[in-house]
Amino acid sequence: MHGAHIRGRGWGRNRLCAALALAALICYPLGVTLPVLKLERMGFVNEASIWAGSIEMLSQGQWFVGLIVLVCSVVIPVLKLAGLFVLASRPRMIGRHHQSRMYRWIEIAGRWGMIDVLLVALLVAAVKLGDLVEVHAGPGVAAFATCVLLSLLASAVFDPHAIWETRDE
Amino acid sequence: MPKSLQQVNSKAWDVPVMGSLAIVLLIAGWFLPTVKLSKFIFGSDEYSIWQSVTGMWQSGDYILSLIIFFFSMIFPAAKLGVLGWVWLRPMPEDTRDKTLKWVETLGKWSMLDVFVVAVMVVLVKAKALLDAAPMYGIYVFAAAIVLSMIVSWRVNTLAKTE
Repeated sequence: MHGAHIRGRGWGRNRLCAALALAALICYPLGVTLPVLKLERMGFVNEASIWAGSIEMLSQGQWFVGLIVLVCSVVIPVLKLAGLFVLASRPRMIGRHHQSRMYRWIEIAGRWGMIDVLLVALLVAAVKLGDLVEVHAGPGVAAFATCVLLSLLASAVFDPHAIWETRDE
Repeated sequence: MPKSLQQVNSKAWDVPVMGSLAIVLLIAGWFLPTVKLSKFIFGSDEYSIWQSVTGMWQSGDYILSLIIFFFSMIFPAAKLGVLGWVWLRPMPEDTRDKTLKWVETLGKWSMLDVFVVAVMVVLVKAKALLDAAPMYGIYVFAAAIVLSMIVSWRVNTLAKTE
């Protein structure tokens, strides 16, 4: 009880941030590997997940677009969530100098992490194609949308000042 | 009298070069075809960003049409405009920092159309009697967005080291 008191208000926020980031990291593999959209036309059905889709783009030779999707919606968001989790829950695992560097990297990653953009893109693509074919949401959409929301909340709740405060105990 | 970033960093020629290139690529990217939808029976159609904005508006998808219009046309143009203004005009440091931060948060949404094309291309396959292929316009547009993200990152670093 006393320990929690000394650590102050920022620590409560960062505990919440760590919990949110961890929950997002757990949702993430489901949201990325389960099919997000399902297309039907004249008896043909085609499902696609984000992971399989971006790998497919790369194997088709669509390097530029495939890499943007893979890096901005898979690699960076996972690194950002993992970094946020470590920084919010175990700041002492890394030295003081590395903490501020890591925080800067997380800020930069936030600009290039685009899972929220991808979520809106799924909606737009579904409506655009909806004129020509039947498009349904797949089971991955719920997991992916949850992950987007959790990750937005985790970054909003994170209090960078608390990391440095713990040093003065 | 405060100096502008351009005056302080007169040797940083890469910023104006990349910035102007981004403007040209962006305008070209609006009107070049970004995706080709082929229907085996009815022939094929090529869509540019501008065509998908007007097309969705005409078919009654007003909200989506506005989303694409703002994210793919207004935002990236405004971002480059604001960056040019921050670069050329002398202004107090805190105004500059605030403006740059605002520009950075909105920047990534300009990538929306690239993702839309990617989703369409992956989802639509030839076996469903419909085929979607990315066209060169999407590379031009994506290059403009990536380039303007690099410019804003450069301007940001120069503003901080000043």
